[in-house]
Amino acid sequence: MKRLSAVLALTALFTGCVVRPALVIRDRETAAKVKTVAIMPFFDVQYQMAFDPLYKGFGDSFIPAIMFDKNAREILGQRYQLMGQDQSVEALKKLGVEYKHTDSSWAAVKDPDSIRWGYTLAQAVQAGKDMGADAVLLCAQGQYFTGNQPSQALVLRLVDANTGKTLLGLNATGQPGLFSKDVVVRQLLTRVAKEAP
Amino acid sequence: MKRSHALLCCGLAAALTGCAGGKVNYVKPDFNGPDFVAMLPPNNLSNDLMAPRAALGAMSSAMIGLGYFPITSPVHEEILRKLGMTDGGQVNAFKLADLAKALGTDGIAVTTINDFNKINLGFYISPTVDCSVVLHDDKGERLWEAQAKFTEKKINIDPQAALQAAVGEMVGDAIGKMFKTHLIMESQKMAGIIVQTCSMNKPSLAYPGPLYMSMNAPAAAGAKSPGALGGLKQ
Repeated sequence: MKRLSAVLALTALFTGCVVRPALVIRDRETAAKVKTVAIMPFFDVQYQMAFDPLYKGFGDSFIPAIMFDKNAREILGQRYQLMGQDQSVEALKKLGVEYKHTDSSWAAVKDPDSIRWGYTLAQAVQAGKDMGADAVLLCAQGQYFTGNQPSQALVLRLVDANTGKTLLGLNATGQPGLFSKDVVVRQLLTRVAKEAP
Repeated sequence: MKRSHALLCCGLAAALTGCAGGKVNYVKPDFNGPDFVAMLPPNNLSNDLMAPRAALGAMSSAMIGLGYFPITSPVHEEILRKLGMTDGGQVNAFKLADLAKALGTDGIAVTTINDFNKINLGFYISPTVDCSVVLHDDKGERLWEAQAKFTEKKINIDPQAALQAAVGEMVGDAIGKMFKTHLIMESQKMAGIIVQTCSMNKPSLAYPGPLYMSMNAPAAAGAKSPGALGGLKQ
C-alpha cells in the first residue's frame, strides 16, 4: 500500500495533475461556424515571468505564452485554421497597442512592471477582425495555493470577432509536473478540440 | 524536565501555527456570471505600499480559479487614469457601470486590502494577508462578496533559534521588497482560500453562475436539449 502511494506521488510529481476543465458554451450556433481563429497574446495576471510571445532566449520553451502558442497550434490546428500570437502582435501594434519586448528573463525578475503591456478586449476583437478571423482565442494564467501546493490556473475564452460576444469559456487548474510543464495548457486545449461545437 | 519542555514547545507550535479562513458575505440570488471581469486597483487599507500589486495579482488568480477572465493591464490603468481614478480608494466616487463601459468588460471586481503585514520579533513571526472582493455586473449591481484571511504564527522559544529566524526573515523580506515579491506567497495562499470558499458555497459563486446552471441543467445532466444558453459540461 505504502509502495503504491509512493509510486502515485512520484507519478504526480513528474507528470503533474489537472482537475478536469469545466466547459461552458455560451453560443453553440455561432461557435459551430467558427473556422479561423486568431490566438491573442497571453495574459499573466501575476506578472511574475516573461509572457512575451516573441521572447527568444534562455528557457523560452517554458515561457507560458510560447508554450500556449505551440500547444494551441498543435492541438487546435486540426480543428481550426489558426493565426499565431506573432501575427496578432503585429495586428495589435497597427491598432496603436504599445507592445513591450522582453530582452531577457532577468528583466522580468528585476522589475516585473518593466515587462507589463496589454490590450483591451475591443482591441483584441478588432485585431481579430482585421486579420480575417472568425473568432479570437484569449487566455490568462495565474497562480494560487491549494493547501501548501501552488496551483497553476488557466482560463480561456473564444470570442466572436464580429460581435465581441463570448462563444465558449473554459478554465483549468492543476499542478504541472517536472517533465510536463504544459500539462494544464494541454488539458484545456484538448477539451476545446474535442468538445467545442 | 527537558521532555516536558519539548512537549510544551510542540503544543504551543501546534496551537499557534496556521490560522486561515474565508467567508461569503453576500450572494445575489440567481446571478449570471460575467465573462470578462475588470480588476480595479485595490483599496489599500494597510500601511504597505507593495500590497496592491501582490493582492491584485493574487485576487486575479483567484478569479481565474473561479472560472472568470480577469483583466488587469497597463492599458486599463491608463483608461482609469484618464477618467480620474488613480487609486482604489477613489472607487466610490465613480459609477461602476461607467467604469465597465469604459473598460469594455461585463463585470467589475473591487478588491479591498484589509490587512497586509508581517510581524517579525524573532520569537514570534506572523505574516497576515486579509482581502475582500466584490463582483459587480456591467450595470454596477453587486453579484457576490467574499473575504479571506491567511495568517501564520511561528513561535521560537530558543533565543538562538529566534535570533536566527529574525535575521533570516529580515533578509528574506529585504530581498522580497527589492524584487517586488514581498508576501506574494501569502497572498496566493489567501487567494486559494477565496477559491475554496467561493466554489464550495451553495450556490457556487464560480463562473458561469447559478442562473446559467439552472437554465442548462438538462444539458449538464446529459439530456439532448442543449439549454437556452448553449450548454455546460463538467
